[in-house]
Amino acid sequence: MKREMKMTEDVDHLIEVSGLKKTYQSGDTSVDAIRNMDFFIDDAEFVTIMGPSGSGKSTLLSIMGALNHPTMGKVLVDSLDIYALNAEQRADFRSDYIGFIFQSFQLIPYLTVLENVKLPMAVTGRKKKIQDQMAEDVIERVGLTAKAHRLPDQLSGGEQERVAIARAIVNKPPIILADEPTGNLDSKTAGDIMNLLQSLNRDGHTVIVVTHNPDMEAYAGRTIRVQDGECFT
Amino acid sequence: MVYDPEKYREKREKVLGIKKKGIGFGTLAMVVSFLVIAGLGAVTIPRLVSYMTTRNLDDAIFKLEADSSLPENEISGITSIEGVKKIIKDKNNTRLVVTYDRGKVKLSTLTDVFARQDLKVTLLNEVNHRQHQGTLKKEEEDIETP
Repeated sequence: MKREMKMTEDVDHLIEVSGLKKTYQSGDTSVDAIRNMDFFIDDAEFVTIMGPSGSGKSTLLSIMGALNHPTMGKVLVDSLDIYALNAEQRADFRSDYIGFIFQSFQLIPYLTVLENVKLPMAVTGRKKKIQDQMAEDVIERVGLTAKAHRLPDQLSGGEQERVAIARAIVNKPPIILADEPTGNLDSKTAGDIMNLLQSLNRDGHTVIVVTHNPDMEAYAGRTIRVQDGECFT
Repeated sequence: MVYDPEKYREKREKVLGIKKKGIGFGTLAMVVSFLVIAGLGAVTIPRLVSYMTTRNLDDAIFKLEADSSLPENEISGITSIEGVKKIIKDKNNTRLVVTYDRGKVKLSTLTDVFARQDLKVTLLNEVNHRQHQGTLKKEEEDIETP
């Protein structure tokens, strides 16, 4: 309880990254993917993380998503020091706080759109009827109601990305982390996806998009630039 | 937008495993179930134990002849027979109730003991011990009630 009170007084941002460092070790060689990063992201912000390939932006995203333990530094999300949590708490954290969108969609090919979207709710303990309703709501939100019972390979790239977005938001997470969500899409479809992310941001989701495409910057409220493992806001 | 610590309170409490105040439904259901089971147990178990310990017991009621009396050493002699639980004499020293385990001792064994001691007794009744206790209790209640 003491810890909670202290954090409530000190923290002013939804996400705070401080002194972050990540080194990958391969045999005798070590590579600093992230050297020293300090930044914050406020609640309901739309932020793009931009940088060239190999600059450390995807590593940064995975660390913010509680998927990749940093070598040094702290990540506070909603005043939780996410790498001070035990593995079970961190899994709960991911389930409750984070919606992930991946460049290659990562949809299960033998499950329908509806079933793919329902997957993150499998561990929530919600009743089936409520799960169905929530999944149908988000599928409608991304405009795929008519294709809810199709398999992923019966959809276009843009539609698959929409399914991935629906899956990411079905548990109503406050934070959406997207890793190159438009990387595999043509420019018009990419614009549609960014508009969809923008509308989710207007609904109150904090959206963080990793991209190397400068056109995406226009959709965000702020950009964090990453180069050689360091960030410039 | 500045961070509002109240906004995600529920998610945060879930992640940290902070228990909500008050008793949950599961806990309440468990407490009620326990109380019901304990209550039923308190009523049932003593009866069950009583039944198990007395189910093989019978009472043999003997009448002593007018000129007979039962010496104390004879009582202890009968009590020492395996299967005999207790012997009760009435106030007038005319009736004798022997409680015995019918699985361990036969009624004829008791009458043989009396015969060997040359005691003149008549078997008035042989009845189940619990049934006899119930009859005595009812008689006592009838006497107390005006």
